[in-house]
Amino acid sequence: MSLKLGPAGVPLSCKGRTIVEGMDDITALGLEAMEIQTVRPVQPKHFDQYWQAGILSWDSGIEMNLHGPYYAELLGNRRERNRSLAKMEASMQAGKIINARHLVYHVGPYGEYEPGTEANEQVANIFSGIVERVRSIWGEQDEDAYTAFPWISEQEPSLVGIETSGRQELWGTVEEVLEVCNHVEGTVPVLNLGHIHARGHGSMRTSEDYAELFDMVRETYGGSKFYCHFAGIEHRMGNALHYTQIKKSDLKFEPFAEFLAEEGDWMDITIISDSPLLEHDAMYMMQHYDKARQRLMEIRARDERRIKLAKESGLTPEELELLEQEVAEAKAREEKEESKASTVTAKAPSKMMSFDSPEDDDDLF
Amino acid sequence: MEGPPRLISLGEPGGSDNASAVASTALDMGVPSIIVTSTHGEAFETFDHGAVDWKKLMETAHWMVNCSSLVNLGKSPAMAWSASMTFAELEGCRNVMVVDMPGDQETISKTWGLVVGKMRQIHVLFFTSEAMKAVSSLENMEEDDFLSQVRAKTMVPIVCGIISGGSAVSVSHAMGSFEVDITEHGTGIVWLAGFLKSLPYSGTGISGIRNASSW
Repeated sequence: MSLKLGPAGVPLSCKGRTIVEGMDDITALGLEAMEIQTVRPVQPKHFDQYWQAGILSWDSGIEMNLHGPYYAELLGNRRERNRSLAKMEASMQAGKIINARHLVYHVGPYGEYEPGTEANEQVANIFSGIVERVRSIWGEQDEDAYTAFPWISEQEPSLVGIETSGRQELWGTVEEVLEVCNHVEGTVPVLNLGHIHARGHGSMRTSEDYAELFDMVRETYGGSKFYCHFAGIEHRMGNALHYTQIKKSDLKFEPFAEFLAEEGDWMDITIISDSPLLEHDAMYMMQHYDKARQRLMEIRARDERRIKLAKESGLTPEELELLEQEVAEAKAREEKEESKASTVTAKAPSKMMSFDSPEDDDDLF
Repeated sequence: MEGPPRLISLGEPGGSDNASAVASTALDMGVPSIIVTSTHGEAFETFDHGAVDWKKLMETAHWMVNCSSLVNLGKSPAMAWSASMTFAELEGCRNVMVVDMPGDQETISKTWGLVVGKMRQIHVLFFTSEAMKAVSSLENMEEDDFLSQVRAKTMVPIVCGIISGGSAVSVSHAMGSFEVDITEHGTGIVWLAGFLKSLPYSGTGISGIRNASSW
């Protein structure tokens, strides 16, 4: 299994504020991914910084990703859609320069569409155009570009990620995202687990909930590569209200860690922390994943030992387990009896020493 | 000052910035407030921000107030600005951000970009009227709908801003938005100080926000 964790932006504890300085900190923390927030229109003066980050990511193996404008209205009228696409264009250009593996976009409100096929078709059409544009950007270069951007010749263009939304009035349920990703090659679902939890009225509670979600994604979309966002979230009536740190939310990471450790062998997953405590919560997730793995390994080691012992004593593992159960029960019975006996013996001298006893009255003074 | 601080702001030594103005107004209203700034004889641009014990300052504080224009004043204020918000998040102190116009108005794009990067840590986002004009045009958004659009996208719990030429404030929150006349308070900053004073004790939900906004 491959699990990459990282923050959505330059780490808060980073002394500098540039992306490259942020990447240094990420490496020092043992994290392996980063999502750059191009929430504001990208300006050409930022491109030098992006290119340096791209080179560093190419050399160090840190997975770089890019988040598009924070506000989009792809289902709005022509003017609104074009405005959103114009903002996205700059992030597509930046994606090539920074060697982004994923470009993450929101769709925005349903606008005049009703949730359903028509809206999904419109989103699919728009994202076909976006994928095409990303590919043409990656294809546009002369010979010199290969030296400046070595990843262009050796890597696939950035995948276009469509993020699940956290509010009822926004396009982007898991089903909608999967349907569009299924129809548009070059797109991937971005599972924002906080949003899914909020929209599902607090649905992500146990490791089984995660198993169900990822099975659905595997069955509908296929593949083993996943890109997720995780943060604590406050929600009400199926709508996300506010991001919080993981510890303060009813969306816990432990069940997700348990699922990843127990059933995630087949997965290649990147989890981006978009909590208010960016890298702190990314580290928190890493620790919980390590703990879950350790616990699983202990259980497996115990099972293996049982099998080995069974073989040595000529029993089947089931017979040995039964035998162990009988021994444990007998031991528990024995301990219970022993404790009963010791209570009786403890009580006896207390009776003898009791001042209530009429026989002792004479010995009081 | 007696007693623990309830409101902290990061501001210039002269107190001419909006964050300091909120703190000093709140202090006048009886809210224990302190302004974190450079020490006497130290330049604010290069002050020793590492010496600020944010954790201790925030032990009993409700609000950490910052203004966006401060990040342009040098590396130290920018670092302190960022650190104060992270510590506030860790210590359970709510962040308030006053988005105002920087001295060099050309840098509003950079300043706003930095605020957006911190959005997840902000609890109350307050726009001065000039900043609202500039940012809405930067974002290509209609000014009328700007606050609720920002709230919907950034999920900041309370987004407010000065409207109607300074005579009212529009407040946008999770369940809708409303306007409050602030003529009697004089300025938006005074209104904000009173709002912050009242909000922790005004009850929950929409009515709580309404009560606090018409303090």
